[in-house]
Amino acid sequence: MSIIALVGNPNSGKTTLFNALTGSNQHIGNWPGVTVEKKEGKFKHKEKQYSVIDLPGTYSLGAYSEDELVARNFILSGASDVVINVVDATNIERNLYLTTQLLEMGVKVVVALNMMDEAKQKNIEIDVCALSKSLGIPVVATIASKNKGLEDLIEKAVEYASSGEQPRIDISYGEEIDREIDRVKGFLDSSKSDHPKWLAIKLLEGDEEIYKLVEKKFKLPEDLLASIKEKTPDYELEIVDKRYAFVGNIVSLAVKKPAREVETITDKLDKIVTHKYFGIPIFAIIMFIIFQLTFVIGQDLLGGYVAGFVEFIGENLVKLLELINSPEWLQSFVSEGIFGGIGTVFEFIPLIVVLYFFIGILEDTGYMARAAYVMDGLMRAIGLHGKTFISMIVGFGCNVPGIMATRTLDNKKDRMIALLINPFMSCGARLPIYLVFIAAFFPNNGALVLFLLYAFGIVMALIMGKIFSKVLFKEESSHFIMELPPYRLPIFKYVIRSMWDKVWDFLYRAGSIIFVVVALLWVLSVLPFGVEPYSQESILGRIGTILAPIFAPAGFGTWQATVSLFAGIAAKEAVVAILGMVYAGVSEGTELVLALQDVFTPLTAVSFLVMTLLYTPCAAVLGTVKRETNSVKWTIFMALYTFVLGWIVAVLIYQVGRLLGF
Amino acid sequence: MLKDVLKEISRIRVYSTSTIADSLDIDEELVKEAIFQLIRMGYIVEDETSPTCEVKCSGCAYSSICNTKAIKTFSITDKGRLLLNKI
Repeated sequence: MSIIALVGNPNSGKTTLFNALTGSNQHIGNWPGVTVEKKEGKFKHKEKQYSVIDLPGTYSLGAYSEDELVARNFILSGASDVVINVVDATNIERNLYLTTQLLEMGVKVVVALNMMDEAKQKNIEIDVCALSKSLGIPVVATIASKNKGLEDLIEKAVEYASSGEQPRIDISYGEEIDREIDRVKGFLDSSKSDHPKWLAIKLLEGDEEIYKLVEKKFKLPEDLLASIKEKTPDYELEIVDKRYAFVGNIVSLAVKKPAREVETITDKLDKIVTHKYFGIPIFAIIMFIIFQLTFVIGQDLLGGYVAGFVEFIGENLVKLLELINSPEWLQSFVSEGIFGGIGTVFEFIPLIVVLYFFIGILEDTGYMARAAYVMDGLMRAIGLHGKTFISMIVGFGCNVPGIMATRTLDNKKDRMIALLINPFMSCGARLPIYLVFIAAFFPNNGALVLFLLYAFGIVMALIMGKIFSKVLFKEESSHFIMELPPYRLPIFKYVIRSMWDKVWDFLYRAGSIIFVVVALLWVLSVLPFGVEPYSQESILGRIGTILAPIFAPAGFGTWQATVSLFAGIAAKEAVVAILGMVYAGVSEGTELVLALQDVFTPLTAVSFLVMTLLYTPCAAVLGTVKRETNSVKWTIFMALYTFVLGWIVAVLIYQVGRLLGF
Repeated sequence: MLKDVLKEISRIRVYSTSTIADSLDIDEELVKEAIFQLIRMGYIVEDETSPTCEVKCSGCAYSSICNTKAIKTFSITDKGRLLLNKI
């Protein structure tokens, strides 16, 4: 029984061809010693049975992966009578690189030029005869998915396998390398190896596996092996380059592609959005528009429904508890603790949904890479690594992955700075705090205030980054290159998925960690028995009263604001939840807004917002900092410096604002 | 071609395959292929923007908010720098 091996790049249609040839007559196992799948099948052609081996998809026959090694070793073993190389006609340059390597091995190859229908759709014209002539082997046009050309392919493969023809390929790697190939080949010839020229090329390419094989099987002189090792670094790229040049020549003779657009839409858009001077203002305008839309859609159009729903559920649940004569403490916990606290957080979900929907669109179109690029220029100008902004963008969702993303920075200086400034990025958990204060004090300029808070976080991060790079770390930044992917229309499914993931996380945290914090603080706010719940006499009130003077210079030295800020160190969402709970009797957002208007002024609201933006990040972030730096000292530094910085800036805002008469 | 692409990306801080294709007057697919080969051969290395954690996404409490739309960045390796110094 003759054996046919199928080899090709991933996604070239190789498995489709295998299925089309063998139907259900397949057997799937593993290649010995590795976890790579082995697919074997049988089919009949002109009353003769053939066995087909579907080799793992591979771009090359090097030793870069298990798949490549499995494919290469099988072909080298000579177990197959003929190799069918499946080539994706729409991506012919990449695919023919593998073909040249197969030909260099000296095995009998037939090319199945697959996906010809897709190539036609893309206006790629391929002269199959010219291609066959240039390669010196049979080439058959196929559309495996439609069973087209398969009969002809098998016919040609069987005929070629039984013929005495041998593939010939002659790539010149340049005078010096060709001379070296001949020298090494001479030694291998005398050692009676099966593929002397191919082995010589692979040795000079620096293929470690082949080096080990040759060292073991053929006793080459020590000085020859040493000279090969010495020359490899210079030859490796040259050899691969010459192969591409060879492929390029063949393609120029046999393939006609539509002329490349001189300037694509992506290029045109990039000229504007990545402009040296306009890039950053455009980024700022886009973000501002997103915030504006968040308020218009999330608050004005959708906000009322969710608030009404939370209120409806809360009221009816309390009525039900009254009806079944449940203990008073339980009614109080549900009414003030759960619905006054966590319920308040839930009311901001429409805004979070809308904001992350638009951020999802930005990410999916490919704009975020441009934003990172335009900010890269600014980062470098102040001595920070451009990659820092990428971790900052990640931090807009949550600072935990933002801090983990700093791992991409190579040197310690860049990484530590990126890590220390990441918490200034306004994460999703801070959003409810911003939104409740905006509703109370800046309802007509919500988008502008939100935009300014996000921008202020970035500015503070840049300032602190500059200070750290001057004071704490003084190494040089390393160079990196960023890829700008082509723009694409956002895929609605992905945008919704990305938005939902973030909203779900928000809900999950509200139902877990924030619930625990609220429950704990609720207990403290109603004890000891006999005192007015949520009053200054409660345990929570007393603790808050002791600590409140810290924040008096910033204008919000009330025990309620103080406990909410400290609760925020557990999780930032808890700030609003605790504010909702401790302003007794508050059962939903509008009333919390009214309560805040009684206690805060627009100026103290701003200083409170800036404090929440800058002060100590949540426990999860601190835990991540500890894990990433493996240092208690840096974790404590992060917790303290952010708190002090937040306090200083809040105090400055309040005191300067007061002096200016606000 | 590979050398030219390596030289080009060492010269700039940001690239799109179309701009390199334009400046080297080669097909965009070939630029993609060249970058792929340069990574395989260890001349450049692709950095992962998404956190490269020990924790698998399925077991991570932050997987849902983690950055899934990675911004691709590359660094030239020592091997790449050595070659660039020679050409």
